[in-house]
Amino acid sequence: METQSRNNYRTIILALTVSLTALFLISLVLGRYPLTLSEIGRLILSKITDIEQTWPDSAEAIFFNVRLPRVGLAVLVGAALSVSGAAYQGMFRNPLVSSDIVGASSGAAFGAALGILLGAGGSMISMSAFLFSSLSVALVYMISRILRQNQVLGLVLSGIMIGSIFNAGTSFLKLMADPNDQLPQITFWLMGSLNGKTLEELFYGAILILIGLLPLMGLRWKMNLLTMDEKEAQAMGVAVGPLRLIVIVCATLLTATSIAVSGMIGWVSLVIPHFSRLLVGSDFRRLLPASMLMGSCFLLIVDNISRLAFTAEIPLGIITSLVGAPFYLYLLLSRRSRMNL
Amino acid sequence: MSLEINDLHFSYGEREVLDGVSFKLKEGSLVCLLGANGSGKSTLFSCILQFLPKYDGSIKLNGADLSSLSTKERAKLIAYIPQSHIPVFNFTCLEVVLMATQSNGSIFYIPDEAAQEAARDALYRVGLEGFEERGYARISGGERQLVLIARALAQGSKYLIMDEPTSSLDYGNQMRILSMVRKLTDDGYTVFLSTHHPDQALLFSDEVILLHEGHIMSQGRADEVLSSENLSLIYGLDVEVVPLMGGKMFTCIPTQVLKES
Repeated sequence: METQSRNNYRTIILALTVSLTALFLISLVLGRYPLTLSEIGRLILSKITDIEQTWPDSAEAIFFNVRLPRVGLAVLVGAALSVSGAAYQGMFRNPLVSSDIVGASSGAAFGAALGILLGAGGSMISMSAFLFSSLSVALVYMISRILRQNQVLGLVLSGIMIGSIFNAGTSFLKLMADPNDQLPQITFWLMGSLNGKTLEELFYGAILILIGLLPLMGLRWKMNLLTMDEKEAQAMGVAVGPLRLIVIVCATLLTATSIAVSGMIGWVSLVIPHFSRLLVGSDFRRLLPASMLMGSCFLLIVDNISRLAFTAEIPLGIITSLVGAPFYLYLLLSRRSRMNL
Repeated sequence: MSLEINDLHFSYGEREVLDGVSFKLKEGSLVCLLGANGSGKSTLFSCILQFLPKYDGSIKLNGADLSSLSTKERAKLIAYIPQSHIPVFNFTCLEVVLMATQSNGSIFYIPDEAAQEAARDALYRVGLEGFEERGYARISGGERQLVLIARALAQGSKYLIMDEPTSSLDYGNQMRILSMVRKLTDDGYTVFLSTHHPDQALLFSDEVILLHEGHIMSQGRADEVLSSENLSLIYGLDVEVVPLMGGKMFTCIPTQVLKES
């Protein structure tokens, strides 16, 4: 049976990898200005060696400045949100939490709104969102240490408190914002979008997300022990405190980076780990890779709907909520998940 | 090779829970810890396992002070078997047992074939063949307790601390779990378990330690320590220990309750 489930896992991972590759290529091709795979191949080749230009200049601009950053970030952000969601769910021993539980998204929203209000440009807004997101989580962590009670409960309580303070701050900034241009910009940012991303943002996003992802992937077996009672884990030889801190830092880096580049995209970090658990079980050895691949596939599909389905772009957060919420209800109602959260 | 506790004091704020506890456990024995609610049994276990590191006194295992060892080193010497509970996430039984195998690995440890084999062996040892892929959240309470014992075996430590392992089990499972634990001592394991049933101590233990109001009232063979006077005192209730089957066995009868009804 053990070998059978291992084979199942391999099949699932293989299927997800193939789907992701296919979706990635399809997403690069599709668009208001369609490109062909051979054009894309030659465009990439032209950056490495000298080949004769057989494509219009506009194709090159669209591919490198618009489509590649957007599609690449969809893959990265989908993976980052799902992995951080799975990590938080394990750490808080609660399958109903998502990556905004420790105040990362409230902080990011405040930072972005502040950046927009001060008239900053795109990458400065992302930077501000990232800084305030990290600040918010750092505050939550420090307050939970002062509370000195059950550490998990302490984190949840201080997360609610800090989150509420930053939410109040964001509301105040919206009140201050110019209703003609700044307020719509803040509102649009809060709904999440991958529109207008640059190669530079893809580059920095990729670095930060890899820094968050790799330690979690390495520690994914030990993350199983965080789902157990703290005393049990300690008696099994795990230094729970340091391990939890590393997981919080990495998961927060993933969340903060995702929100900073794409705004608020709800539900991915909640639903994808859930769905992955139904496919490969609760063991983080399998859950984390499966969540990562599935999150990338999901966000690519959603982003394609967002940019292609209608003439005007629909913010990502709206689609993920529209798709995610009913899906989540279905998961909760299905017999299997009721016993197998 | 023994667990040696010397003049252990612990207080929660003003309230002194352990007031000068000293005793020694013989290697390869099953020792039952008895005491009323609030007598300090759980606190004593928590101190031994270093969950409550701010105690006074010393706790030594094979001569090494447990407080000076790292979490990892300690886990190699002493394992903790909690009361079974249903976890939030439904791991398979094999995954639960595997969790204890990480204490001999590096930071980025992922269980290898040897660890998988050790975990499977541990499951067989407690009689759970064929349970590897079954969901830990969906088996019975008795089976969950057995999985936790298997996990402690897979950890490789020879000292096992069990906090009321039979508290939520039916009578049959209580006896099965305790017989299983009894057999482990033949393989060189030392088991220190707390229980609320004097009858269990009379049936299975090599030694009994009575904890009363924060200190050791008595330590020794069950039929000597568990006298009618001692039990009446610690539980605050008239209890009589009576011999059965011509003195081969003892059981205790709450005579006060009998008189009242």
